[in-house]
Parts: sequence; C-alpha cells; structure tokens
Amino acid sequence: MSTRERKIPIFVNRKKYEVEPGCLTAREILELVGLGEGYDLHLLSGERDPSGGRCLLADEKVEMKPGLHFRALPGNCTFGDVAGKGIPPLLEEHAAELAAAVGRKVFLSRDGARVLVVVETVPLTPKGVYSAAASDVLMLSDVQYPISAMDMFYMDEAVGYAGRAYPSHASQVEAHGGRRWRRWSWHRGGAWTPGADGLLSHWAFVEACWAKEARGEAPCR
Amino acid sequence: MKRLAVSEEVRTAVEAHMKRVEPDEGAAFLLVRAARTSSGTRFVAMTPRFPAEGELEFSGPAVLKPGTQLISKMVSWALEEEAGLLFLHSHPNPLFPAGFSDVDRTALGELGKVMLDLIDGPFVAGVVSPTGWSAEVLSAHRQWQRIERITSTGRCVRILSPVATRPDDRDVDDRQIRAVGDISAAIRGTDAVLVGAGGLGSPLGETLTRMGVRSLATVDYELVDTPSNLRRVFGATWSDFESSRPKAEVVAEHCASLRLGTSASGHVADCRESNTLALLLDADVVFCGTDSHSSRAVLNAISYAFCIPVIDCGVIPGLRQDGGLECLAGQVRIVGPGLPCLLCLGTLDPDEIRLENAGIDEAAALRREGYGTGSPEVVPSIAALTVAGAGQMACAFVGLLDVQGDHRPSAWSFDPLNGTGAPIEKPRMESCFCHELEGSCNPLRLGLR
Repeated sequence: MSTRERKIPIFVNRKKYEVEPGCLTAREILELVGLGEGYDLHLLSGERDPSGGRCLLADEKVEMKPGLHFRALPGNCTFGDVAGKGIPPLLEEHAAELAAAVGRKVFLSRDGARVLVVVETVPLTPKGVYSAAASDVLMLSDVQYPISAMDMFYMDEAVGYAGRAYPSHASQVEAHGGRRWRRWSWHRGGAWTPGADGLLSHWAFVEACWAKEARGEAPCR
Repeated sequence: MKRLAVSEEVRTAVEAHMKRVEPDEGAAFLLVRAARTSSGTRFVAMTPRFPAEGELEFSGPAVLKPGTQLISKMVSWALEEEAGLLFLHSHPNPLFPAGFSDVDRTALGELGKVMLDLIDGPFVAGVVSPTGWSAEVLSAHRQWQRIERITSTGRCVRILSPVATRPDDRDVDDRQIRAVGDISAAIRGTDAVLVGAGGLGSPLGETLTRMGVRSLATVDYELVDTPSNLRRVFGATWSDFESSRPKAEVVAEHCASLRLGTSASGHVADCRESNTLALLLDADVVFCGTDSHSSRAVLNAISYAFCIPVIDCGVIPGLRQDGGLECLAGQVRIVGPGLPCLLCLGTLDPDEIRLENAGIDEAAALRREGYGTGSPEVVPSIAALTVAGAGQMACAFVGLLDVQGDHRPSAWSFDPLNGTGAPIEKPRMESCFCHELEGSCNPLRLGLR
C-alpha cells in the first residue's frame, strides 16, 4: 500500500485535507490548515449539522476517519458599542438605580474623558410650563465620577418655555454625543460632596430646578 | 449601489427583539440572498432567527459575543437553506452613531477571514441602532463594503439606513415640505422605476419629477407611432410621432427638461424580458403603468421576490350601449410583502396572461374567437382619466413613504366622474403563489422571458 493510499481525507471549512491515520488534537488540526490559536474547532456530523457541531477542546484528541467534517471559527468575535466602554462602574450602578427610580431608560456614553448620561423621554411637569410634554435629559459627568462634580442639565434643543422666548439661562445650545442640546444653566454652586452626592442627587437637583421654573424662578447669575 | 431589503414583518420582528433585550445588545441571524442590479447588488434578507436563552456566549449593555457554537449553527442553517447569512446586532445606546464600532470591526475582520469558505451565499453584517440600520457585505476579496441603502417594505416603505439627502431648494420645496413634512425628504431620496410611459405613465413621470424623486428610470418598448398617443402621452409632440420615437425616451427627456434635479433615463425595454430585471432591482419603488396582464404579473412577482413595493393602476372608461357615459373609473393597488398581491386581488387573469404570451397575432386571433376577456382592439382611453390615475398613484406613493400610514388600505377604486371611490378590502389569499415568492430573490421564479 502506498503512502498516498494510507492518507485519510478530512474536511476543514469545506476544504479537503489528507492526514495520517491515528489521532490528532484540535490544535494540531488547526495548525494543519494554517489557523492558529484563537480559533475554535467544531466537529460536525456533516456540513449542515443543525447543532453547529461539537466544539473541541484544544488538546482533545480525535481519531482520524475518512470524511470527518470540521468547522474552524474565530473564537474571539466580540461585538460591542465602544461608547459604552470605560464608564466608571459606580456611575453604571447609579444609572441603573436612577433608571429604576424614574422608570425611564438611562443611557451612558463615553465621549473622551466625559461621560454623557441621558435619561430618555422624561415627562416635563407640571404641564404647560415647557413647550414639549417630554424631553430627553442630558447630564454630564466624566471618568472621575463621583469625585468630579456634576452641574447643570440639558434638554432637547427645541424645548423652551411654552409660548415664550428662550430664557437667558437656556440660550446656549451645545453638541454632545452627536446631538444638539439646549443647556439649562442652573448651578449647584459648589454643593457637591463626593461620596454623598452622585447621579441620584443631581437628578434631585434637576427636578428641583424644574419646580423652580414652574414657580417662575430663574437661577441667580 | 448596494441595497439590502427586508419585509416590514422582518423589520418589526428584529426591532422588537432588540428592544426586548435592551439595555443589552441583541443579535439576530437572517438568511440573505443576492441578485445583480444595473448599478450593483440587491440583497434580500428574511426568516430572522434570534438566539435562544443561553445561546449567546454573553451580552451586556455594550458588548455581545455570539460564540462559535451559535455561529456554527447558523452556518449550518444557511447551508441547509442554500442561502447567505446576515448577522445583525444592536447598539441600543442612542448616543452611539449608527454603524460599526472599532470593537465590531475587529470581530468582523476575524470572521471575514473564514465566512466565505463556510457558506455559499453572501455574508452580511449589520447594526440596528435607534438612529437606523447600517450594514456591510464581505466581498470576494474579503473586504467589508458598505451597503448604501437599507429598506423595509410592506404597507409602508422605510428607509432604514441614513438617507443621503440632497439639500432642499427652499424656493422650490417650501410648499411640498409644508404639505407632507419629512415625507418630502424621503421622496427626494427615492429611486423610482416607471414601467409604461403611455397615458398613465407619462403624467406620472412628470409628477414624480416635480415631486423631486432622486432618479426616475422609464421603461417601455413601445413607440409614439399613432397620432392618438399625442392626446395622452405627456411630452410627446408631432415630431416624435413623425419619427416614431420610443415613448420611454420621449418621457425621460421631457422629465429631464424640467431641470428639477431628478436623474431621468429612458429604457427601450420590456419588463417581461430577463435583461430588464437588473434595472428594476435598482428601484426603491416601481410604478406600473402598463396595460397588460403578463407585464403586471412579472412586476407583481418581482415585488414579492425582491421586496420592492409596486404601485399599480388600471383605468377604464365606461361607455354604455346607448353612447352615454357610465363612469371614468380605475383602481390603485399597492403590492409587496405582507400585502395582497394582484392575484389575491383578482386583478390578474391567468387566461389573459396566456393569451398575451401567445404573441400578438395569435392572441388577436384567439380573442376574435372569443377567448379571453380582453379586446383585440386597442383599449379606449382619455387623458382626463389617465391623469386622474397618475394622480392617484402619486398619492399612493406619498402614502407609501408615510411610516405612520400602515393602517391605510393597500388598494382602492376611484371614479371621479361620479365622485365615488372606496377601499378594496380583499385579504391576502393563504394559498397564493405570492407567499412562496416572498424573499425568494430567485429570477427563475418570476416568469421572465
């Protein structure tokens, strides 16, 4: 029997390879086809194996038999929205608490050192104060949360007072996270204690500002 | 241009799933098939499958790892179905712009090394985010290439990918914007194909141009070869008749002469011929202004197979035996995935199709023998009615682009002579051929010549 006749045909990613009889590990099979570490190797019952096959351990031995089908796939295919990377864990925790407290979705997004906190579609009460019934609300924090203080807040650019011109403390429009926001320049006046203050207390500040607006008050300049 | 089309049913299912798993990123796999168009490729995706509990390796608010077991399973599925694969994942954070992140690109780069070896069809990857969808296809050279236009088709057409809008000319567009709001921008982003450039098609072509569609391709193989054409074909003159010019070219030139920013082109072609298909597949919307059953049948099939909405219209003046006028009536029918097709609506007559395919002379002879319902003579027509039909089709087009308009009827009758009109409320037939065609993306099933 010639050497060629003794070789066993197997298939990896639908390409035919010939191997010596005996056992090969998943790692050896991947090396054979030019794929190194970082790939998972699945043993299939056929190319259309509805289960996707069995993922082999790197050192797992498989006895070579004619017509074995393997599928090699990159094992580290992680997808993700990078805007969500590098958020201070405590801010993530507080955002989840805020979302539960207000019953709205809260999104966090990293923009350089800054972290944007957006509370989605917040109903603006009492009715009739603002030109819209609801708005997304943006609060700015950064990677040094909660040491770094928060101040002011932002609403959708179009939101102003109902039937009146934009007040002077809401005359600035800024771009953050690819959107345009109207800044409502209410200031905490340095009242931020790291450890005691955080996203939830700043939200309470925002709500207090709205209550003042409803009473016709404006921030001191 | 590369286009990706899904049905409204598919879009709704995908977006509902992604919403359900928020704030985590979600994943979906769809079968995808492709067909060549005159400017690129049209991909049609269908049959979404969502990972079952525990099938994803992990997912979170800014991360998703499908894992090789799931990917391998989906590869097997695509092979079984003899299709390509579309992998969608979501970016629920509204602050992140639509498109792939750097992390996604790294993962796609890895997958791109092997996917073409594993499946027989295209491999497409996409992101679903609150600001829209974006997608790229893996080329034969293992490069990721952007899919410029993503649409969903049903009672409404949604352009899911960011529309490359042309700047409004406020002087020209002001009243239109005030009339229909955001729909005006959608109109201006639409690539339209108009099949039939006669009494119905020519005023419609002019109307679409005046409304500002991005491009208008006019398809007709007939010539301005009878004086009666001049009564109805907008843009046609005596000199066009004297030189027997193709209607498609006459109408396209007329539309281009308006200089309203629409790229107008005329194509002397028959939509029933296979070499016309690539042109039709480049459309966001196809308008059917033909008067034959066989051409309507082809456009009807294309609509379902390739997820392209078709707006069809038929008109008929009713003259009584005593010479009195009974009606100037017509019907408008919007067909496409999820909607009753022209067979469901009873518009298409299979016997007429057979006769039309028998050839002009033989069909005329058979009609004289009493076969079929059509007349061996050229059908009567008057511009008042064809222009009314064109106006109805243009209104149907505006309604199609209204993403809040899916409650509206997809077919209706009109009779401006008698001041009547009503929705045509025929449901989609369960046994109809249109179900089988939906998303099949197979030119061999269209009945092309």
